[in-house]
Amino acid sequence: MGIIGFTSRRLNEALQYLHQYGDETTIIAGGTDVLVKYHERLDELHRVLNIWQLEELKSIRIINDQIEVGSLVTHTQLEDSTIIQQNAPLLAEAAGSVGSPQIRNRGTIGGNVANASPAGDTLTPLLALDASVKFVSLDRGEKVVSLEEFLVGPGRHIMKKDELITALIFPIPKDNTVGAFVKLGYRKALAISTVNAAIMLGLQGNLIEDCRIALGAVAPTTKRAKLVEELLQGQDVTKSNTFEILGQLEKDIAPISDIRGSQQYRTDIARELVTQGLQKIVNKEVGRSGR
Amino acid sequence: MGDNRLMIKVTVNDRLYELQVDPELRLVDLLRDELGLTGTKEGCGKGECGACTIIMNGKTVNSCMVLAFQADGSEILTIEGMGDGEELHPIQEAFIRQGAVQCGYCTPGMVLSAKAILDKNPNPSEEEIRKGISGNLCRCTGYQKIVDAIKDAAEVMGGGGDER
Repeated sequence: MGIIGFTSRRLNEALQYLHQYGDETTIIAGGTDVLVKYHERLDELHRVLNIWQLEELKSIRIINDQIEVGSLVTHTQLEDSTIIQQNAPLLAEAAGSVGSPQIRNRGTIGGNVANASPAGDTLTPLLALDASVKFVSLDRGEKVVSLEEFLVGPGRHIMKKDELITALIFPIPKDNTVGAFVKLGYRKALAISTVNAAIMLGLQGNLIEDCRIALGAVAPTTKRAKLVEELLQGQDVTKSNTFEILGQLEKDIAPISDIRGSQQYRTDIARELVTQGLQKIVNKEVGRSGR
Repeated sequence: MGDNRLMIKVTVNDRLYELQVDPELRLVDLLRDELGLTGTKEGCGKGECGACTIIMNGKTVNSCMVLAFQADGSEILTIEGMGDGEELHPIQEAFIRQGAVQCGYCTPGMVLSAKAILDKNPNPSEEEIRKGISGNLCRCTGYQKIVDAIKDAAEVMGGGGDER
């Protein structure tokens, strides 16, 4: 009896392990979700595959017109990365708002995506950045799927048990785009978001040419507010009727009531956060996403 | 149990250990129960309170959220490694001077978070200090004195960094 632990030192070794034992294996990287989930019942784990030592998944790179973030990049790395700060400051800000320094030093972006929490703080900026998930298995090779299609429910994604996330990829935002991340939790540190929101606007002067709004903790998955996105197209971001459009947000979301907030509260907060996000952009309190 | 044990090498407070560990053993249990380093405390066991904070490869981590076998090859600093056995570390001295220790349960974790703050920036702003200890709960509510102690330590250490 007892659980079986294995440390993979190379990606291929990890994939072989998952190929053989995927069905009975729990993958652990920083452990900040796994060790909470299995608190005081670690003996219920069967096999644990430790991927923390896979150095090849720990870098942030610009490849052509895309940014590729290795799945083992930690929240601290995201927060401190010049590439992320310059090109996707909303993602750096979101990563810096997660948990505590200790959690950010261990928790990884791949783990945040694989955990698929509806409240995951890096998921909304990733959706707003139009990110895709790169994952791989031994016998079916590499797949790249949009994050939107990847997430299918609370804690659920489309990956099979023999597959491993290797990277998150998103296009480098154009020079005329600006992004913002806003969240509300009960405390600044160590609080799961009651609601979080990420916005990317492509602006032609004050006119919204293009927009993506992602919301967390208001539906079974973090999701885009596509109706409102469409209504905002062509609107002047400085005009008050643009903000009135945000009243339609409730049609895009389906919040539940739980200990962090009621359905009505979440609906109101979602609108408030998106309003704040747009105001941050209007007031230029956020850096441009392009260079 | 024994059959599934894994061999690991860890350096704790500059001393190299080669150990066999059960896969479900957490790093906090390795430190406390196997190595007898009981300065590291366990509070919530879920990464919320920071009492079990240690420095691993230069970064603060909650040792209740790391499996011991994952620490293979790492360098760990616990509260026992802060002083040299004779003299306390300047951060510890500052905590005493400023009255930043009440019940003392959060103190080892606080001191290590303080070290990480000062390692990153020898002259931190109050905001940086508060953000830096945001993962450590003190239920005696001595935060102000803890912040004062970290400022004091920064001053004493001359903003010139810490060699330890």
